[in-house]
Amino acid sequence: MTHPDCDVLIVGAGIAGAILARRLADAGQQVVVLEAGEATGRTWADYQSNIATMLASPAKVPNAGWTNSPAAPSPSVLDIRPLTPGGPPGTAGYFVQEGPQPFGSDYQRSRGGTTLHWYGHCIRMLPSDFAMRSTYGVGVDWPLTYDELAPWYAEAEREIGVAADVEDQVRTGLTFPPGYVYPMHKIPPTHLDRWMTERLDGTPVRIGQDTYTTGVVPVPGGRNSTPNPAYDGGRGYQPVGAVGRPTSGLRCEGNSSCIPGCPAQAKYNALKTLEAAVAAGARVITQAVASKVLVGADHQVSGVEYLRWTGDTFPTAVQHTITARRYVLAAHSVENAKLLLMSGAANTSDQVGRNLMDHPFLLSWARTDEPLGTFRGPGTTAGIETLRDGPYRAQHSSFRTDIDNWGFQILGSPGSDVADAVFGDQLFGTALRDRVAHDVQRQLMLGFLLEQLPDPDNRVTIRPHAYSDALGLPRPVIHYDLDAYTRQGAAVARECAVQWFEELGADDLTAYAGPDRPMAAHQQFLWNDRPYCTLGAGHLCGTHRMGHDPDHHVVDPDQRSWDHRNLFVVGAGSMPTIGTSNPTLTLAALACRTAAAMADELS
Amino acid sequence: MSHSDPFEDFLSVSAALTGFSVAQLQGTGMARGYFDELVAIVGDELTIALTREGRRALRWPDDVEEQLRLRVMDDPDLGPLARNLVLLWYTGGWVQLPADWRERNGASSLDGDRLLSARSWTEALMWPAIGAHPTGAKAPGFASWTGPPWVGGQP
Repeated sequence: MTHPDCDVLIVGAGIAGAILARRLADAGQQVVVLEAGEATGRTWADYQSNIATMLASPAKVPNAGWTNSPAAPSPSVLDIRPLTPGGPPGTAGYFVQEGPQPFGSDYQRSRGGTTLHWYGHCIRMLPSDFAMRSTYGVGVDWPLTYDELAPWYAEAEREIGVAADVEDQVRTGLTFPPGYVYPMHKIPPTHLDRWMTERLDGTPVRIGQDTYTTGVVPVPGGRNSTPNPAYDGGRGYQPVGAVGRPTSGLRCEGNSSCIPGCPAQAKYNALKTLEAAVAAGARVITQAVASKVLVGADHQVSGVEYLRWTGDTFPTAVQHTITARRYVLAAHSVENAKLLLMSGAANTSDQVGRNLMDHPFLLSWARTDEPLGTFRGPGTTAGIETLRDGPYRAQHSSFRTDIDNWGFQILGSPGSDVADAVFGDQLFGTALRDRVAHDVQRQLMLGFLLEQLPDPDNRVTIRPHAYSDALGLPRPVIHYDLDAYTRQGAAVARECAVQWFEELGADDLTAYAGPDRPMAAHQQFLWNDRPYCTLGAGHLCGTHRMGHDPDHHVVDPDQRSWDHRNLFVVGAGSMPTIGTSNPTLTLAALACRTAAAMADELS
Repeated sequence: MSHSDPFEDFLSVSAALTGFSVAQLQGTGMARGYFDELVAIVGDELTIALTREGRRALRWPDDVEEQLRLRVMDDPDLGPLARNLVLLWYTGGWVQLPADWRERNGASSLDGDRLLSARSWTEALMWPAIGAHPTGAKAPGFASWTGPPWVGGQP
């Protein structure tokens, strides 16, 4: 056997790939990372040029400011179009949307991956989230329990640098070992958080015939706050600043721009972990799109082909092959599935690309009679977190609820308020200024993240001859729908919002139907004759799910391919169910766990 | 006869239209750029007509609002310009003028929906108006969000 080019080849320089690269390089392994996209944010100046582009972008959508190369295209929420039942697929942008519902989420293909524009929520999944089938008779069970993953959650919280306080989080149903503290104290609550806590925390809310308690709870954030001196047995925690400018971003500065991007890098991004990986000897090759996983006669992966590309408008590429002792796909849920389907690999279970899940994101909005301090601080610092689990999960989705510090930003505020006042009400001068201040200060937005069950028909496929990108590689074809479980969950979430607005004395403005709705192109559906609309949350999961049975699962609990034992497929795609937690912390915990298993085996 | 500088008039009229002072507008660093942008999109003649009629309205300090409405806002040609100028100051963006306006006065290729620049976003008056900083810039500092709202307390 010839000597391989490296010990570990990792496809994808996002958070999962970065964590594996760092830990395996620290363990003395020779690591090479292939990144399809560009070398975003390698220096402070590079990063600031992206921030400048973001500020100049008319629509501050998640991908605003970040590179979108024809050779490694990223999906954009601006490309979502309404689909006609029985009509042709939507082909605007990178995704091919087969429907029946358009898939509403994006991700970012460049160095740092989607953590360049993630929200920063670092919420552990609940113990019951790992056992949906045995607890509620829906979905599937994980091959891991909460207790098995808990130490790896702690590792991920260290890697990301999570700000939270244990006494808050136990209110959501989580358990922690005695004495555990997060690296940093929670982000100080916003004025709105306190306003909501005073008025809503502990109040009853009805779901069906049952009464539950509304709990307003701080959200753990991957953003720098005040270090907790009790962390790590009293050793404390040193916040990690910006890449290339380590004195920046040591505390959240309140840029109110977690999405599309944190100008200070006070919010974690994978560039920080990559920098540590490179310092430990890992090599990152950018503009290198993996195009085929090669499998030998012994069912082991024998190499990865990739296209090293140059050129912005009409890219050209040269094909290379790289070999390693172990291979890791960490390219994101959709790209991992796409690459395996392109390669005809790891799919004995026929589950590659299936069970695509997101958190359908239902908004409810109202006008309060007091100013709330909108548009200050991180997007969400507290949520209503006590309805994430309950017996209703046998019938419909549970959900967690973001309390939005940025008013109706997602509907276009404050620019849309100005336009309405100027063109609609013909206001100018101090009357205009007072109106805008009055209205925007009273905007209360709740965002419900609805649990979605794994459905084999919600899936990523490829049709290479029909749909390809500038390098001739297939574009993801997505078939997606919302089932009765989720639609009923949306209805229940909406009823909770109505009750909470009533309790707060807020004027409910929510309207899902109508041509003036900014989300008119997104997932619209009727349920019990009422219209609803959900957006994507960017939480793509499930496309290479883990489990104990090679006939039904793509990877084992170590995220190792059942078909090819020297191949690992990592990320949120391994998650058998999505729960209600934003998935980055969970995929990071899984990556830490896999890195340890690989390091043990390789050393 | 007093000689009047259209840019000085532009500042005074902009202040009256936006509810901010001339000093605040100058403080954004955007005034000259917006004036030049207006000239580029709609030409000298209409720009000067707007500043001239605005200056005339400002001669009645007790009745500025009504005078502005009569002379500028209700005028079929100057009204749309003034509203676009207010939107530009408040949001940093230009929106295409109404179709009938474009038919009467000509349609510039610059007259399209756009955000002018990163600076026009960070200097947009909507941010101080709502008691906030521009999203993505001028960060007010750690824990600045914990206190009561900075504006909007009036019923």
